[in-house]
Amino acid sequence: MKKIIWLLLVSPAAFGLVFFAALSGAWADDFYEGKTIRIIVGFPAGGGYDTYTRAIARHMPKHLPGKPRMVVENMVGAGSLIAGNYTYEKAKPDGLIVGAWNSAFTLYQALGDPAVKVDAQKVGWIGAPSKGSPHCSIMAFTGFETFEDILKSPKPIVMGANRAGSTYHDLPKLLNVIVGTKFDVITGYGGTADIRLAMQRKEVDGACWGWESARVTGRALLDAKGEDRLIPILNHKRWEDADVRNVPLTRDVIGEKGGEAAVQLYNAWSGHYEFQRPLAVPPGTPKERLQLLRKAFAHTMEDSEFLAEAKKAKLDIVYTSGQEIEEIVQNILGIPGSAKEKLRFLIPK
Amino acid sequence: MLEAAVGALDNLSSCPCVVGIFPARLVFLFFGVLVGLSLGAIPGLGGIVGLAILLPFTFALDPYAAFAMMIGLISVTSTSDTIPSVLFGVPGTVASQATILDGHPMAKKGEAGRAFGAAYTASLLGGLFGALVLALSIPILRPVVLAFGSPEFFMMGLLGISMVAVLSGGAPVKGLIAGAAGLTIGMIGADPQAAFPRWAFDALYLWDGIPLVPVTLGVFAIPEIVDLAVKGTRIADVPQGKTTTRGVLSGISDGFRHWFLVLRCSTIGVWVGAVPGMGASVVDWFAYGHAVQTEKGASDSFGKGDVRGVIAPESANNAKEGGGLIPTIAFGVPGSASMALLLAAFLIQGLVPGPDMLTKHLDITYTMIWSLALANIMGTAICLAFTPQLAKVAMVRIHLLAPLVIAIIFLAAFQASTNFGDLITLMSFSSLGWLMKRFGWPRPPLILGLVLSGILERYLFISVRRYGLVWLVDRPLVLAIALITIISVWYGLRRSRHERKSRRIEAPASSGLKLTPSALFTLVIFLLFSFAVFTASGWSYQTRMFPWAIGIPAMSLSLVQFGIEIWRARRPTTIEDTTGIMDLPVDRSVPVSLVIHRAANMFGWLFGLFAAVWLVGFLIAVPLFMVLYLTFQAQEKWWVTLASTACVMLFVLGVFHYVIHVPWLEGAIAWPQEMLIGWIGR
Repeated sequence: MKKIIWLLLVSPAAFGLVFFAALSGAWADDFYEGKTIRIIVGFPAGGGYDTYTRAIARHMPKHLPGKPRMVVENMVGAGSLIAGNYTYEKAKPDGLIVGAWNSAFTLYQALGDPAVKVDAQKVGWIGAPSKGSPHCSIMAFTGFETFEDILKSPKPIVMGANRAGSTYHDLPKLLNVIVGTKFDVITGYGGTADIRLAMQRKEVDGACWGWESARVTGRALLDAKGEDRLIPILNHKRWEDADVRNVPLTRDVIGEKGGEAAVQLYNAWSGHYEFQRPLAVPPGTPKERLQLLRKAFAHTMEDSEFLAEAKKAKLDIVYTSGQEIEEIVQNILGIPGSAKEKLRFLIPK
Repeated sequence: MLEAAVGALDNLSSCPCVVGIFPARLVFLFFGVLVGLSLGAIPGLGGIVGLAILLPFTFALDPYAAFAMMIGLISVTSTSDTIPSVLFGVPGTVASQATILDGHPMAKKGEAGRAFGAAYTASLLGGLFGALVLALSIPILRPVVLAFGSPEFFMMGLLGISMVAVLSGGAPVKGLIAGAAGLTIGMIGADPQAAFPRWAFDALYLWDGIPLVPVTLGVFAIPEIVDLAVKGTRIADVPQGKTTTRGVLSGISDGFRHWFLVLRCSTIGVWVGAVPGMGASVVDWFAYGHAVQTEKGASDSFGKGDVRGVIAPESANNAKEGGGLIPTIAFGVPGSASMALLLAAFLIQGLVPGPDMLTKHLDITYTMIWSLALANIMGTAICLAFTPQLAKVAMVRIHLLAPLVIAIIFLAAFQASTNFGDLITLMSFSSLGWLMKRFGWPRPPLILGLVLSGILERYLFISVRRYGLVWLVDRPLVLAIALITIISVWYGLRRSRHERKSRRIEAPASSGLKLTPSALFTLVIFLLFSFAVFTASGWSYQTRMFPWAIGIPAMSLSLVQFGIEIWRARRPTTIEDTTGIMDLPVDRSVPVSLVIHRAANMFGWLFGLFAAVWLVGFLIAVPLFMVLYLTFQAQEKWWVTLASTACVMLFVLGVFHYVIHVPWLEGAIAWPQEMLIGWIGR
């Protein structure tokens, strides 16, 4: 009898103990409690990268155990290369420093650009909030309406660009190389807005840049009538927007004109658009902390408050997980040598 | 349209979302104005930082309140940026660089109150004028903005650079060389064509080019502090005769008396603001240059504390916000970085900038214009209320003030890109600036060249690539701007030649040595240009063309200048007092040997702080520097030392650490700062 009483008393106690141990095991991860995570953004305050990252930093903490604070710091320079190299080489891998730099550096790493110190294979990728969809548009005043028209055009088509190394510059030049378009790329414009204005005053005929941005900031032009209308002619992905629903995909056009090798070249170039504005931790960051960050990032991407805010700010959210980024990175770094040779002209130097 | 304008005022003052007649939106406007004034008065911070921080808060606001707050913030940073410009010669934002040329000498003459009164009045009138122009130009916004293409932008840049001619005063050759140096410095970093990093020496920091703020602080602010410390008294070297309140009142009346200058400079402000890509850093120089060209007696009195030299840039830099709204509203093309953030707020509020803003959403557009006008009035009133107290700062002992100002300058320079390179830039350019000042080289052309370099190169290339050379003759606006340029240069030169009286002073008797320090300085500049031209020879045509076009003539000019100087040194005679013209005056009351001794001492402190930041990081180096300086250099009482150090640190932590989240540099010895941050949190 006594034994049974003992058993009755002890077993719940033991169970409680085990349960508590299990729980405190889970709580061993309250590393982040009372801490501050710094996100080093390689672009200035107020820009696209910064806006995305600040929105994430406002919502991600509630999905991390211990609810740490998250602050955004802007470390600008060299198209975010300073921030990238800093996070990779100098930042302490304690899970409290997160970097945000241009995913195109993965391509430059593959092409052997010595300025890029970041090894994308060793970085701890947390995830990316968006994907890029490089597209090309042309103004109605040119008289052209489709990509086919442009291929047939006897005279060069003037495309506006800011600088080498941007979508504005790289995509038309790549199309010239692969499918033989006659784009004349004029660099030197200040940025998206500047180029849009140049299109309206007929200084340039068109431009290539992200559709996710064009559909918002170029809306007035896309909806314009007559000569002032902006007509999309190529897009990277299929979108539901009426403006581009029937526009040919860049990959298809390239396959038609240049075959499998050309598609491979395009895939190599466009790989980094699959994870835009990614967050990453320096190599050597404890695995379990990276896991916590990945999980919190994934939850943030589904957080209704975050999504509502993003929708209001017209931020296009397409989640790519850290594991998926690792795969994409492998593909980019595995570009065949011949393709690397052909793409090397893209390294801005 | 008038109805819409009046209705918009109603929008601003009444808000259906709040019970009663409490004008909630005006409160948001007022809040924006307060933040804007604070950011403008702190060197290195401007409206952009404030907007980026405030932007998320606009999610919850209705469009009228959101824009009232943001426009309140944007429109007044260039009102309060006058404060450090006048008091310390430290420009509060890039839009008030030219203000220091006459504002600071006024403070030295004991006229800080008058300078403030005039500056705020000019700011107010300029801001209101900008709002008025914006309101009136709504029907013609689109065609006007579209008429300006790359060739026109290039010509605007050329018009700006032509002001080097008058800004050099009596030293035309030196002025041209300084302008060329500015243009060349502006070419450092990735070129706009091939993105080849010019003169970057494998330093990523230099890829984006040398940032403007550390250069201006180095060239103007540090030499000023060093020279004040050399003199060792206080900023105002005469006791203030009039009470500050009377000074302020006379300043206000100055502002109204020179109403025509205000009108002209505001027009310049609106135009430069409306041209996308010209930006805030250019507008004050345009206005100042214009005043020098057109005002009576300018070549004699400007740079020495002429109130018109304050009125011109201050009216223009407030007017530019009205102008900046033109392309933003009409095309969604931001004229400046702050307008880009406003654009983001547009999108958050579900508004598409473009034709709709001039028809469907006209009430919002007019609300913005009213906000602009009201913000300027509020900003001016608040600034004026504090002026009597602020003007007294000029009477504080310089050695008490110097470490505080130096700490702020370092922090401000570091805001440019939060990179140690910012501090290297600051230190290099402060040495250059001090030598230029001492050897009588006009510094404004250097800054003008730097701010216009990118614009000139970009748009020249685009124009030639797109139109060949036809644009030079077949575009009426290009011809019109060219005509304005020629007339203004000719008029300005003729006037200054006419007015230039005998301005020769006795030069200190030269020892007859051929190579004076001044000539040596010129030689170094020649060698730097030669280096630039030589290294450029290996670059591709498009990367090299602009550096050569500027560098090769500059090489020959500096050789000519070198010749002039060794020739003069042989004949100990009179030299032209070029230093007082269009630049802050050099005080020659202290003997040269003492100047060198004290300046070396001061630069020693500066390099000490620089080294300390490198060694232990900002948060440890700044208080350490303050305590050491105040104890050993200023010999202040211990409690004064501790109190001022504590105040500065509270300010640094409160603004830069907790609000802006500056990524502090890790020192070579990192643990003390890390410990401190661990202790105070983030």
